[in-house]
Amino acid sequence: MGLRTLSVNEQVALLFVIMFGVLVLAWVIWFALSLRDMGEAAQQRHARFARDLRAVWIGAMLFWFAWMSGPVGATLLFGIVSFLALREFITLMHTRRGDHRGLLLAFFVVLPLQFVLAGGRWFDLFTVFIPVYVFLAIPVVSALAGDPGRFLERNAKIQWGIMVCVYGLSHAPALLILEFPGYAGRGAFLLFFLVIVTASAQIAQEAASRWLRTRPAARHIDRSFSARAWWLGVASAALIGGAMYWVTPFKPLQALALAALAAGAGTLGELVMRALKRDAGVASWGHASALTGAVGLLDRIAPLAFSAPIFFHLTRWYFDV
Amino acid sequence: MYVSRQRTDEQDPLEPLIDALTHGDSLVIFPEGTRSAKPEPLPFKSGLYHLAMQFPQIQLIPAWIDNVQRVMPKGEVVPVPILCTVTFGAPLARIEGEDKREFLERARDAVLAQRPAVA
Repeated sequence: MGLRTLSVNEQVALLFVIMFGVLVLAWVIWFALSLRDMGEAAQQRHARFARDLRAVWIGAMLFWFAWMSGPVGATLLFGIVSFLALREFITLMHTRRGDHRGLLLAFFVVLPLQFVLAGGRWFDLFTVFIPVYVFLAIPVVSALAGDPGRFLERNAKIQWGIMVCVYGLSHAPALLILEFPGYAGRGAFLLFFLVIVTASAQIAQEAASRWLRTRPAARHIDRSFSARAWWLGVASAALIGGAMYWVTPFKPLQALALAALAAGAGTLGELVMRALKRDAGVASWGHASALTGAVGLLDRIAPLAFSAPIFFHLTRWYFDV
Repeated sequence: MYVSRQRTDEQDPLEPLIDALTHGDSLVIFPEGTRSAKPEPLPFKSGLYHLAMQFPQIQLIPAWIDNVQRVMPKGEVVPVPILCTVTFGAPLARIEGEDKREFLERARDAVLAQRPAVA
């Protein structure tokens, strides 16, 4: 295979050329379509597609910058994204006075530390730092604030914010710099693989639920989520992941299984985030009329925040790296 | 701009504000004069009334900063970096012959009316 003979840098460069090529192509198609006359429904679809395409562009640019800027830059970049996401999350959770110190701890201590651990490749501590140490420390700080009202609920909110926005996202730079034996410098492919399978599961699931019109599994949370659509999303992600095995250090079947697990976690995570949104009483995390300055970042990254830790852990555990 | 909250005989605490207004600057005033732990603003201090009487040509625009209580509650020094929304209302109309208490209550109601509905 010709690809294998290229140097690592050439392979990575090729990856980015292909990725941006596909995005440019998508943009050209979008532009060509916009020249035609369209009905109202088509116009709406068109506008939504433009929004999604813009988000993908931003994501792709972020990915590229992260890769270009090396371990320190990538960690810093994802750290900033994590900060913005946590800000969106906490803004919509109605925290109380007694949470102030806990929130400061989350924003200014936990978040930076977690990303420092990722950037320094201290992966053993990185994996347990938040679930073990932080989840003990936050309730202690809250208890010391002396407000027993809704204590459990308030702590759960902060812990969930940290879990999704900090813990989940910190695995993106960790994947970028994970050293695989015989796969050095190719971390970009690992993250790319994860993003592609997670996104394709989402797209396939959405398309499936539109065509199948099956009974929703949790009607009060998400009208379109159904078990069959979820399985179809996982299956298509598995197929795409299996077909992409050659960019990863995995064998075809391993790639297929990992893709299925990561994608399943991602789409289920999306469902969880939707439940949290319903609880907070908003339609999306960046609901324009409810909030200024929020761009719906959390909506875009939520599936990744759920799939990345699982993907990362499975990879490290199974391949012992 | 710091407004001294200790009353002294020789100086009017509003003087720096009056200076700014005569120079044509705009002011953002928190008429409660302090931060509180309550969800609703405290009764407004009379400084707002005196300024409004002295400068009848300036517009008084009520504004509500949502979330500001959570960003920095009373007694804390480090703000939590969450998003705030500022809502502005129509300028407060002037009513001739209104006394201080009525005016301050009306101003407070105008600010409260900008509070976004809880979803």
